Amino acid sequence: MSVNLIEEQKLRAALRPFRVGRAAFERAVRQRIEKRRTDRDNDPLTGLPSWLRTAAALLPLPATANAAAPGGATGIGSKLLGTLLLPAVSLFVLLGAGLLSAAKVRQIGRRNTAGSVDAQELPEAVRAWWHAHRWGTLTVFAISLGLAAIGATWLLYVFYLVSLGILVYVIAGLSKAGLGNRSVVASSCFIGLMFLGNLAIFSGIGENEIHFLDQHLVAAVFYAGVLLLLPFAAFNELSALRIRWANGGTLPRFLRVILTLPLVAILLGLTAWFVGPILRPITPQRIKTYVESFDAAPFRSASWRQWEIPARWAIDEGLQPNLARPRCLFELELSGEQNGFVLGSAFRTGLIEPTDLGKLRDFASRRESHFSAQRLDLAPQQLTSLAQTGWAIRAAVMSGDLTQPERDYLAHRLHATFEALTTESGDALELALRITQLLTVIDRPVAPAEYRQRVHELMRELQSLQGGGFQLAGGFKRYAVSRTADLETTAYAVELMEIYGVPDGLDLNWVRSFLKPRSRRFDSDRKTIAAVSRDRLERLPGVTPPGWLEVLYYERSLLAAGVLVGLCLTAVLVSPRPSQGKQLTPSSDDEPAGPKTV
Amino acid sequence: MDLTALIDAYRGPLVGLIRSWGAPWTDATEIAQDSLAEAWLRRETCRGDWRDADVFGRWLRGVALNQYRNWSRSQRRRQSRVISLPSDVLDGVPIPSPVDAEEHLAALRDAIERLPAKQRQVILMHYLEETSVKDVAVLLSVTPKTVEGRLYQARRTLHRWLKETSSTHFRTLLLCL
Repeated sequence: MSVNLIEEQKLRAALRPFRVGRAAFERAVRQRIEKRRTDRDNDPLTGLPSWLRTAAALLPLPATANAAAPGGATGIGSKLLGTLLLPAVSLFVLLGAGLLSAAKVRQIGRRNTAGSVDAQELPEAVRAWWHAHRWGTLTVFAISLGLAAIGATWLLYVFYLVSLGILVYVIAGLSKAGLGNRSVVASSCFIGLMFLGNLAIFSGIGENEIHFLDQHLVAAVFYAGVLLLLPFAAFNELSALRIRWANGGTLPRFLRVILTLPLVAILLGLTAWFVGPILRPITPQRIKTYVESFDAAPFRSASWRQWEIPARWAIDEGLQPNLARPRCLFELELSGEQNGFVLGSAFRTGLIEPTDLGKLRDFASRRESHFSAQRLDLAPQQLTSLAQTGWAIRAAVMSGDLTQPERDYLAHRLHATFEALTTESGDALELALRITQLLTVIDRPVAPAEYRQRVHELMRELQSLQGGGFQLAGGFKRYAVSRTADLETTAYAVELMEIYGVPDGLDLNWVRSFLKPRSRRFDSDRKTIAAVSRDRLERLPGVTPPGWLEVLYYERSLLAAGVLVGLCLTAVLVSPRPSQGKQLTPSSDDEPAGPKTV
Repeated sequence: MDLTALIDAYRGPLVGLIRSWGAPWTDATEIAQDSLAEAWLRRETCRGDWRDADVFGRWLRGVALNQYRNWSRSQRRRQSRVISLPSDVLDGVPIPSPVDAEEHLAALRDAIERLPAKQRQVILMHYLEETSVKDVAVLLSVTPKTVEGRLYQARRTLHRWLKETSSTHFRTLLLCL
């Protein structure tokens, strides 16, 4: 030992008094475990869903505890009430706020008068009113933008509720100022809905939360409201323009229509785009057409992999797609590079025929590296690059020259590869699926119970509940280090669930949310992959679709948007029409009253 | 791995680790017991295979850190409610005088407390219960080589400090004579 170091004996001696007795320590740990178990058993909130436990922090204990307390002497109604409490509260708040606001708007409308402000002064008066409330307006804008930026739709939902109050406040304020005629109210609502609509197509909205519907539908609802308000609002806006037109001359009707046409066209186009996934859903026929029309692979193996997922679904579903065009495309590959990934996709979709086996250039070498007779005596090792070279196993099976010892040896290697799968290695879920499929191909099917826990762990670790950058939360990642989920990997995960079941603790609503139809999925590949994965997911054994209350709860922002638009329309309709003589004449001295325009 | 095996593997280094964070010895033992109980009860929620020593060690350290933070917060609350005792009560408490033979060990303990945090950590974890370097490394999520390096530096620092202390002490004695 070096003389420059303190002796270990001295260190041990110095710390010896602080050592704890082995038996006493273990006894103390066990007592703590026992006590915690007892406490947990006596806790009425144990076993409740997490959202209900959160609700329990805010609501009276009996209301929530009765929902799931085992053996509790409560009726079904009480249990149901407790379980549904939080969504119900959330939705009833919306309903209550909507009704109260509507009642208030009607009340204001009845008291309201059109005011006697001159048409020339009206725009100035409205501008002055908004100027007086500019700080409030700016605050509302800033909050809205901030919430949208972080993708918090549940906060936006609260904000929409607050917007009901703001709307009532604005209408009441305009009414008091004598400005509350229909066109001014419509104009204010028009601007507000336009702003909320634009905000709702902000990229971040809905990416980090569960939604069964595309959140761009919120924008579509607001834009629909804008389109409905346009005839009313246009009057006010154009009357302001008219004042400046030829020193009080009447703006021709055709010019008014022309001025609003671009806006109408843009709004209609956006609305149609957003509701497109609902109006024109992906049907089995469309999937079949997509599969049959695959005649170009611009991104080579990536295009083939994307095509393969719906193609296998179409074949599994018995749609019997005509694969003539994909086959033509594959023949080009066969006579060219023979990419391993493309060969794999072709084998799995049945594009390869036994006569093609002789054309596979690397078959002999791959066979040699995977399961040659010389290797059978060696200890089975993992198969590397299985996604790229697995086709050789299928080719060997198709050729019919795979012996039983070779199959056993291959099975050992595939099992060794399975056991070595980690989330760090990347593509773990795809490899797990490929290995399971290959074991079936070589007549050594895997017993699901053998790898169920391992596969479930992989799925739990690779599920991403973080969205952002146009990606939704809830899907599965290719790599553990990735931040957001990947559509293809999610499709593989769903296929794994078909074999190994749904992992405990994995909320399928997240996966549903990830796979929902989206207007932002531009290409057919991604739309069809999402559609077939959704179909596979809903058909999983024991999986039930979400209930209507669940759907309403997760789509409460959409409902709130609908209520807000409805309230705006009510506010406009109950407001008095503009005073004709004053409104339509720029200056009462200039010319007589013109035609009525509302 | 059963509970007894887990306790045997992590008892010493865990107590040492918590002590190195600043908890007194008795509290460190209590926190370690709480941490092990909590980790055992919630082992299925551990991300990864809890039977894997690397995974469990890293996770157990996280559980212990949370427990230590809870303890630390409760200590701060308790200190804010502390009542000063009258001086005559404190006068009545006997002050333990270190036995001469133990004087050196007491100085060593003081020196350990003054070590840099990372060095103190490995000394307490390794020497408290003769825990292997590998197990200490697992709990700290570092390599065994790193632990060995820190142990070496700590022992060298302790040796230098104690040597300086004894020479100062000797000079003081000479001056007195």
